[in-house]
Amino acid sequence: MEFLTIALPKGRPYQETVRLLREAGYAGPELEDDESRSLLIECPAQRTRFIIARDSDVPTYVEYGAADLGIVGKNVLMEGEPKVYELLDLGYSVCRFVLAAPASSDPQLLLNGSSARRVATKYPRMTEAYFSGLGIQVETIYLHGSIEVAPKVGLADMIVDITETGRTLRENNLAVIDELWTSSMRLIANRASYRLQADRISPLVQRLRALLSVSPNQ
Amino acid sequence: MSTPVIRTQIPEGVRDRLPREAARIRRLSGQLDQVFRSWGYREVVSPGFEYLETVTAGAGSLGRREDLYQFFDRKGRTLALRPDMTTPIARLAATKMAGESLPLRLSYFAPVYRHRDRKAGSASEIWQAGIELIGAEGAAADAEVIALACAALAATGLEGFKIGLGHADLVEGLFAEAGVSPELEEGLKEAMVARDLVAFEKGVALARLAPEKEDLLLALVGFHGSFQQAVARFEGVGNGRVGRALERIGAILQFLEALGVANQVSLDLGLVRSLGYYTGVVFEGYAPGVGSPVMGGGRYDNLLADFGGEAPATGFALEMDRLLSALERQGRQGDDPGVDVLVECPAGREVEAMVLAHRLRLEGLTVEVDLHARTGPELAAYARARGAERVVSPEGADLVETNAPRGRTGSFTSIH
Repeated sequence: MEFLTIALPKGRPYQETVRLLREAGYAGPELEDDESRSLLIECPAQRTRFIIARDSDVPTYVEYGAADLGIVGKNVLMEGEPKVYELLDLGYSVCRFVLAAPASSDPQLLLNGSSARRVATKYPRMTEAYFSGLGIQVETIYLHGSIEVAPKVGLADMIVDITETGRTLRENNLAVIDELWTSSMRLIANRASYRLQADRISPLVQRLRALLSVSPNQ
Repeated sequence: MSTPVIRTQIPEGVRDRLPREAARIRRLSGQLDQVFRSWGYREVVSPGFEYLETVTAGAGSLGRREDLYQFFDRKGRTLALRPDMTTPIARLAATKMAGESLPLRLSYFAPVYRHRDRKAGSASEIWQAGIELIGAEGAAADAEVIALACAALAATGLEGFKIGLGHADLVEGLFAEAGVSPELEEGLKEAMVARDLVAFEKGVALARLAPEKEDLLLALVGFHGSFQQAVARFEGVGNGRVGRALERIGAILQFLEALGVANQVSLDLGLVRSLGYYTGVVFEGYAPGVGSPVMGGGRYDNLLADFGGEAPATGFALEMDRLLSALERQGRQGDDPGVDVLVECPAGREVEAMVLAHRLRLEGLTVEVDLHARTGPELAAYARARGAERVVSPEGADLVETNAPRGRTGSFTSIH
């Protein structure tokens, strides 16, 4: 049996991802609970290999065929629009894309289009899609992180960011104006592997689907 | 005055092919052309741009107008660079070749043009090689085209490729029976083209169908299995359209079995192609390590009617650059086109050098004359750079050993 290569994201969803793969029988003890330093892990008994990567890089590994499958948040897929197949909503690491502004500001005034507003975000493409859908022109400011500070320091009037609990927003005195989308982890496949490795991928999808329906994670 | 930077660059989405790459695509075209011709297909050439109305014929709801390169002619009519070859060939077959006896077997080697997504590196000028079989509607015609696709891929030396086979009526029939609204149908088809199964599931859930219809749609998209399993699952549903589609697929598989290519073909019942004109069998070819199909095609029985013709048709297109990158991954890179012989050309001896070169070419060798009057190590270095097998003096005597592989030994003095 050929090895199946799966790209996994570091960070917040890592432990849950490992738990799911172990429970499904696709990973052994080699894939440890805490992020190890090793970026390439092989589980010979399961005939699987794991690439541990930055979440935004996971679709790239899959699109170019370095990995057959990947597990990654929908937020990353929406922003990057990679050419991969999205096979399954894994249901965990649920977070909301929100438009937020300082609690003291008036949302009506911010969105009436009378003056050009600046929006800081890590997700410029989705932010632009959202505002052009509303017919409002904004200036999008791309930041790599710490988005929630931008209004405080006068860099932007609003932010578009993901939030799981809303705590960071509250801590920075920001209020949610609108919910754009929700995101959760997805199983994605390389388009060629999906056909050429169908004998391995298809049972894996069924196994995960069965596990998810037993213990819904939402 | 310095050269403006933009003058030295080329636009996004297009590329230059230097000799090695040009030789690779030329060689690939040659291999494919040989296969196409041995199956009776004749090459046609159509113009690079046409009227907008022509190139958008039959494109249906899935053809994206914004992906076209459009411009105007002097009379203000809108022109577009052709986004695919099937539509122009349908036009040509329905008009200029209308009098010929059917079926028409036509092939092409040409670039098509589409604005691609913003992602760096995706091509807007896409070189395709393909065939169209026009005027034959049976399963034998479908099987011929798929078997020819297999033969063409095999002839390039590609290993491990797989062809996924579906049918437009499977999808249409199930949608019709399930009572999916047209608006929703469009969204579901888009999800199927992108193989976004999560969006598809959500769309199906939104439609509030009867549970068994919902199960059927999900089973279709996620289907993986044998023909018998497909028949067991889907026969008898979809107002007979699904049954007839399965029957057609079964007949095609029998042909492919007999031709020894059935093991390269697997069922992909949820396959929907991004072009809207397909009416019957559809298929895509995948190669290891290339995330997009290297080949795609299908049956389009209504397209010729858009040009005043009336004939069923089927065909496929190979994506040459994806094919080349799949071959490269398998270690089939192709060599830089070298020459057999480099002729030394000292000052004052140009006539002899050129006459010798001419004679050797008449013998079928590829020959280059050094026009820089190089000698000794300089000449040897140039010969190596050019991949010359031999270096000879204007008299035809072997001069230096090169590292290039040697096909023949001895000197050419005998023919001088």
